[in-house]
Amino acid sequence: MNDFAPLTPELVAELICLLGEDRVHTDPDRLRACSFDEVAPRFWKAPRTAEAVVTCRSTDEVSRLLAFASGHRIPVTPRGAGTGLSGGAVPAHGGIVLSSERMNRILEVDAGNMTITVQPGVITSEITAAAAEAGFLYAGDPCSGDASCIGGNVAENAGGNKVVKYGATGANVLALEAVLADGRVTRFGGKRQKDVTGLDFVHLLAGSEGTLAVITEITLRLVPWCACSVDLLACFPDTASAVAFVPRIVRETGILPAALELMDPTALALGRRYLRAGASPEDPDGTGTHLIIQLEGNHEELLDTELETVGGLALGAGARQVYVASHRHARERLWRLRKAIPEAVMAFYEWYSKEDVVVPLSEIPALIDEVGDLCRDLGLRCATFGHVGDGNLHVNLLAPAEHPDPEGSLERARLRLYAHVKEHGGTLSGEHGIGLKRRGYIDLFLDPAQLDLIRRVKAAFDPAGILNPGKIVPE
Amino acid sequence: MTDLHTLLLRELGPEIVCSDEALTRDCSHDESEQAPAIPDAVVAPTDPLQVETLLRLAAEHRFPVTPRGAGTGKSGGSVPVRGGAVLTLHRMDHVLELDPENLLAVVEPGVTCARLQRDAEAAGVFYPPDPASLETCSLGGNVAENAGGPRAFRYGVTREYVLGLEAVRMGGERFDVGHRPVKGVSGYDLAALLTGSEGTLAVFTKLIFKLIPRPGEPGLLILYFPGLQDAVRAVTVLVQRRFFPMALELLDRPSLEAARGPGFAPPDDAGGALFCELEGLAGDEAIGRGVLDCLADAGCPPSGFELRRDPEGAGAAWDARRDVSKRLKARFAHKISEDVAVPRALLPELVRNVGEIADGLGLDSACYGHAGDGNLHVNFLTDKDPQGFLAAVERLFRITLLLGGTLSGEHGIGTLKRRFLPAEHAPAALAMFRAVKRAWDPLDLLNPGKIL
Ligand SMILES: Cc1cc2nc3c(=O)[nH]c(=O)nc-3n(C[C@H](O)[C@H](O)[C@H](O)COP(=O)(O)OP(=O)(O)OC[C@H]3O[C@@H](n4cnc5c(N)ncnc54)[C@H](O)[C@@H]3O)c2cc1C
Ligand SMILES: Cc1cc2nc3c(=O)[nH]c(=O)nc-3n(C[C@H](O)[C@H](O)[C@H](O)COP(=O)(O)OP(=O)(O)OC[C@H]3O[C@@H](n4cnc5c(N)ncnc54)[C@H](O)[C@@H]3O)c2cc1C
Repeated sequence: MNDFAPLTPELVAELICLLGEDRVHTDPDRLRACSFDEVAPRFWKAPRTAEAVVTCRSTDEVSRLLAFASGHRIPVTPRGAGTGLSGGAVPAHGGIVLSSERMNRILEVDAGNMTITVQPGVITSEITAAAAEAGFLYAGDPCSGDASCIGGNVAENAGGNKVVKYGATGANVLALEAVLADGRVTRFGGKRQKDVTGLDFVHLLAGSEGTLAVITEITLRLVPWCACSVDLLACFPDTASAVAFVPRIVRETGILPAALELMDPTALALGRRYLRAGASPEDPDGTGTHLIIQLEGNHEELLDTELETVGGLALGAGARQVYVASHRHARERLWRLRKAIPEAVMAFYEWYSKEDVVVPLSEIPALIDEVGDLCRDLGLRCATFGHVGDGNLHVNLLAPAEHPDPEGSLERARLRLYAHVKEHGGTLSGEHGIGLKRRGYIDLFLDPAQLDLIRRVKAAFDPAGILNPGKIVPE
Repeated sequence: MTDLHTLLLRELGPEIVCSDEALTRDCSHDESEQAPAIPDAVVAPTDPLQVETLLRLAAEHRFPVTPRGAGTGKSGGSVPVRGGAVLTLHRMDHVLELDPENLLAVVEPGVTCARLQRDAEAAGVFYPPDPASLETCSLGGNVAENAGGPRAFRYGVTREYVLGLEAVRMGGERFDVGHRPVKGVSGYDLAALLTGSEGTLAVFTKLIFKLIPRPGEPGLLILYFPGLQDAVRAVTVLVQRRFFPMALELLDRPSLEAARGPGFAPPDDAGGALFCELEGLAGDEAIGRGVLDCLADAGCPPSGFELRRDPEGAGAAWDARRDVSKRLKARFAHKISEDVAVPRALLPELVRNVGEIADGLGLDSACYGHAGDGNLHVNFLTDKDPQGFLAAVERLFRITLLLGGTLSGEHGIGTLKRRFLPAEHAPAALAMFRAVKRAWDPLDLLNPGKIL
């Protein structure tokens, strides 16, 4: 599979002829900058560096680039903002990095049909803002939304904070324009809410991590804003009581929150330190585990009742306090802390492993215990936070600075964690993807028959194997 | 007795390989206009291992296999047009797990949609998809067609409830895809690819569905309008003003007439109606008021309405709605039914065009369906020579595609709409469909002659 051609100066010259000088970049700084994402590069021992970065400005240019690359057997790695947490945008075999940064226009907001159509390089939060301006909610809401691109969100089937109620990014995609590996351009889906004409390639491409096609245009579903919404902060004395409470919300009240996030004491402490915030009044001794529970609806009174029901249930389940944040300022403060945690981990630890496992809700308490045990055994710490309402936990394994063997221990911790996740009927990644980082572990979760089918789909789309090679499945 | 029958009898045994002539005849057709085709053998497994064996034999001996659920399909999907074996899954009908804590259910493919709904309800949770055929259609068929139904408007189609599944590929290899938690991105989303693949990529032997909390007891508000266009406009108004009823169904005049019966008597002057299912209406009449006020406020009040807050009253009206297809068939000598979907805001345009097409060809028409989704069941009807149907359908598809719509919103392509596929999909897309099909089933033995 690895018989790719090097991008010789002659080929670079050809590429410049084909697309223009301002589209093709080969200065070393630029190459380095586009050769990693938010996974620490030490995860891959051999350096992985792009030989050229190409900034296409239209579908037609993408098409010409891919036809060229296919013809010459040069790998092409699509890239959005490079905020990925699985090494998806890392050019594992060198070659060309295709950046979507210049394809960053919002093409249409269609209020009548409640859709927005965009190019892949648009920043997620710009979509949220454009939708809000038209009176709608775009429900995709990854914590990296101020930086990540929508193309990257679709390619990863990114999750975020609103998945409990609205589904992950893929669930909100109605149509895609895509360029196939050989340069052919095609479209799947449309502005209609339902479509069973042919195979569902919209949802196959969502989450395909740039390995099947390059996405050049995206139509997203918008939904009406709920008239009112609030955040509850439920402070539990420990993680065990918080996670035991989670499945009870839906089961006992029938209320489906719009968001349901967990932050354990280590995660909270890291977040506060990163934001330079002191101990919070909600959690004076810094030992508590917090849940953010977002509720929304169209009737103020109804929402008030729900608020009381859920709040009451939390107190009954052992929460020390329940705060209600209904004003913008208070809500922003809550979410700022939650969103700071992933970056805090990277800022304060040299050696860490950001895991993204998912298990059925009822299995979370057992998994939390097992994570505690394995960290103790291996001399590691752990910050656990994330989209607990989906069963999706960002288990961040942390090696203290003085740890004698951080690398080896993190690897052993991962293997033990994955074994537990598998036992509990869970899976390797809930939203960050497999990419380069997790492909060595995927066969712990997917049976050989499924891996074979994945390879068959890949070969059908990309017979020459030039699109983002080295990702998802082991080579 | 065919050679294939003999072979299968030897390999799988008489319990599984059926010799019942009535069942064989049943397995030759579905609920569409597709001409019946008698299979060479019918296999009715009770266990995934038998499915593996059959598909292994099929690859070895090169005979086609057509999966079948309940045969309620409306696009010819389960008709064995190339002969070979029909693999009917109706005996694999166990609910294996119903887990309200994790909000999921694991079922065999032969379980009916209504059975899962009832079991979920008994456990205090909710399975929303509700194709009108729910009492008989199988969940395997629902997943294979990505079935919709009235509630897809608010809750989405079957795909949004498929967490994972177990399936067997041509050749006999069994595999799992998807996950039990509500999300997961390990590898490609093969569960999404298999959903809606109409039995052409693999045979499902187990399905994992997502469930959701039970909504407040719904009630039905039926809104009558002077003309069809008024009813269609009301759909847009409700959506834009943030009313997301549990279902929002449209019926035109001929459909209302067809629905008329003991449990449902629409006023004679109604040109169109909306069935508006509202969460909590059973317990709170004011919820219905909200909708009426909103429509009045927007200048499109209904000319009449009916509140059916009790389950019996609402149920009778829903039964009438579900019977429209059947009753239209009984009222006219010839009927052809399509299932187009357009961007919601363009529904008025579509409805206007259907009227013109029918008038131009001297046909009757009836439109009803999932207006909130922009998905309309368009029927052309006549007691005379049906040769105008062909032109009617071609014109309907042309206008649908011009409006940015799709040929099928929920019934699938099957055999019947196959030849129109190139009108909607570019050659590159069709080539990729074929490439994926070939990659999974190189000999084209699994449900051949469908979709592509
Ligand atoms: C602080 C922080 C918080 C985060 N929070 C979340 C969260 O809450 N939820 C979540 O799901 N993720 C989260 N992430 C991960 C990351 O932001 C998402 O995976 C995001 O979707 C990546 O988008 P990107 O534009 O940065 O893509 P990149 O990292 O550039 O690329 C990601 C993948 O997409 C492919 N790709 C990009 N563009 C295209 C295209 N046009 N066509 C085809 N393939 C393409 C790439 O090849 C690569 O495989 C977080 C990351 C950080 C750093
Ligand atoms: C009166 C009536 C009303 C209807 N209303 C609706 C509606 O509101 N919404 C809607 O979407 N549809 C509706 N339908 C269409 C039909 O009921 C659906 O398409 C349903 O999903 C078919 O299920 P089935 O079990 O009858 O499948 P079948 O007709 O037996 O098969 C349909 C397709 O699924 C495949 N298949 C079946 N089981 C499996 C399996 N286990 N593995 C792989 N492939 C399999 C078959 O090969 C075939 O291609 C209606 C039909 C009728 C007759």
